[in-house]
Amino acid sequence: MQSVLQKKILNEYKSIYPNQTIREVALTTKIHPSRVFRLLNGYEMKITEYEKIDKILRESDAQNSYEQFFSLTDQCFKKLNNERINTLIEEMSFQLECRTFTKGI
Amino acid sequence: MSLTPIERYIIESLSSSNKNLLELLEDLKLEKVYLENSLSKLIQNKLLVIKQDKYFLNIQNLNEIKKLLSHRKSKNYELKSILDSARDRFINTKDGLNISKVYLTKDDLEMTESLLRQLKSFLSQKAIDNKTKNISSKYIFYWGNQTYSDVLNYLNS
Repeated sequence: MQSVLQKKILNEYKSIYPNQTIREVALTTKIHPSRVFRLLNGYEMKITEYEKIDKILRESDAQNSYEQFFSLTDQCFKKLNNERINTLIEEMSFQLECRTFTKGI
Repeated sequence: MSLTPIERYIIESLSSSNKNLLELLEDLKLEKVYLENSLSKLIQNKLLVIKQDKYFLNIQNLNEIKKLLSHRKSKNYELKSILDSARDRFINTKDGLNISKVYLTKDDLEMTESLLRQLKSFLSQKAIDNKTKNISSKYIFYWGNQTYSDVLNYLNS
């Protein structure tokens, strides 16, 4: 019987990798193909399996943010004037100096 | 070099009286790790000194401290921290910031400005430092106005 959390994480995974085969899911998540087959067919997930999928989703989020950030930076340089670019630089300096320092990083 | 809002906050606290770590924690209501990080940076930059567990403004560097407090980047950081916090609170709770879009006649505008001057005068009297109270209990007020077109033209400038 699938828990709500299990359904949620599997749906999230399918929305990011909609066309993966069972073998590809197994390769990505490092979960054995026969277990992947069972999980996708409603078997209860182990905590370690949940953690593996969760890690993949978090890394995918981070990668998306990273790509989005650099794509936006590129567009800003192409489309904005120097004054606006300086505003962005100031905003980034503010986030770095005023936030990371206070967190002890 | 510029001051972060937390460094300014510490300097403002120490300008009313010298304090040890516990007194600073009580006055500023900051998490210890944040405070210690900022204190060590201020000491490293020779803006503070520590004597017998008490933190003091470095009087040999008072001019530098005054210059830093009024430095454009430091002031911008303080303003950003206030407005970012207000914006965040407004977006999440619809609280803490009042925005009104209104038509005003010349008389209405004069009356509004007069009321704001009264408010400013009242708050100026209250701004005189009360050394017996914690700096963390101070209220920050902000207000201002622009025409709708000024705001939108700024976006396209």
